[in-house]
Amino acid sequence: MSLLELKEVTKSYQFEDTEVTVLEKISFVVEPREFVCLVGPSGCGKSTLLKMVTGLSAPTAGRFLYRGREITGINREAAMVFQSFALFPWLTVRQNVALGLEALGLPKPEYERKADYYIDKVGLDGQEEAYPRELSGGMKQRVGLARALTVEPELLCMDEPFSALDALTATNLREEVIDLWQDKTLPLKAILMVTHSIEEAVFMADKIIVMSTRPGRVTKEIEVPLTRPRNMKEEAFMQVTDEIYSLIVSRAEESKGEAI
Amino acid sequence: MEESAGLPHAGISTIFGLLEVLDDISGREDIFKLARSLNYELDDLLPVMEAAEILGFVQLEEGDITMTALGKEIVEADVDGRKHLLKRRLMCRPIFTEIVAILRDRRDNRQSRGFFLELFEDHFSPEESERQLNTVLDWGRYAELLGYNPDTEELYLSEEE
Repeated sequence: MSLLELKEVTKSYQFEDTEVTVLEKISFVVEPREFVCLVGPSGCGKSTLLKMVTGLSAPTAGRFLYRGREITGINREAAMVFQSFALFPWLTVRQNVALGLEALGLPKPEYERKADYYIDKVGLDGQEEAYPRELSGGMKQRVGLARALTVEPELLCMDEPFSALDALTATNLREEVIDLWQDKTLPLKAILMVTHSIEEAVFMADKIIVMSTRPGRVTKEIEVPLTRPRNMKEEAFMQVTDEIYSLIVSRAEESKGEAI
Repeated sequence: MEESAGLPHAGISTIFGLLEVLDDISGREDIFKLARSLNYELDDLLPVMEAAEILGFVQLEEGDITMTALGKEIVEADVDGRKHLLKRRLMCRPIFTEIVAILRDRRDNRQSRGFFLELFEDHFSPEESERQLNTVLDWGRYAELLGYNPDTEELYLSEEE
């Protein structure tokens, strides 16, 4: 059974007298042990989609199924990592990481123990007492990762997690996320990641969902046939990236043709 | 402080990122080509490369950057392995051995941030001293060699020391 299934998900907003459709009839699945990337230009509703997967907002039409059951309210099996880290500046690393567990009502010794375990997993051991302002972007995003992993989700949702990082730090963090995903000791099964970078999607994903914009629609679903570990400089990698670029460009040209 | 030239300002994540990029291209590249391929200004890439060099992970020679065997080892290591290797390399740097010696001398292995800033200010401007200490802490904390309590503003030795 698929872990996550989207069935014709549509999201519209009432804006004065017009109805604006952000997402239209989005359907795809995420299997257990799958890394799926949503790729598309700005404004195609990718972030809105992630919010609905975590249960923070509801679709206007269509259904979200998690393990075959409709998602109503917060999806406790999913956790989110944000582009801008979203850390509380007045809380230490440990306090930021433990926040989700504390909110769930776990007793202090237990949530601190769990938080420390995941802080160690992401390499922040020794920095539990630091405040976000003392940390580099890469370290801040590690906090974001630890915070998400601490609630032991099956599905990790990531919204452009590396976009606010410089190219080298992003390279470093991408590898670390893949390592965490492949870590069999974690309950984490699947990752759904939003990115605007095709190279990044080809590096990370088993499956890429290409979206168009205004309204956001799925234009293509592509399996990435590359073995891991992947290397952005290898011929095979660049070939797959080129193919996807062409698909997106030809698709964009088709729609332009339709518009005329 | 012996290291009057100071540490190049590069965060540990950028150093690992550089090594991973080099690993992808068989460990060696022309410096200008590398900067271009990363869309980096050479000025921004230089501190990262210098940091990797003083830590022994790369060699910079005749316009090329080459990953060393140690660089290869650390890029292939897991998180714990990286910390361990980095810690060993930091203990080869005068700036770190001096700080560790100062902390060991203290009964509780702690000393104020202000104390170290004053030492740095013998060689650097106040602003640069802050930056130097921040780089020391970025590397030292990741390696679990040093700790820093932001509430008491004290540096301390990590337990294993």
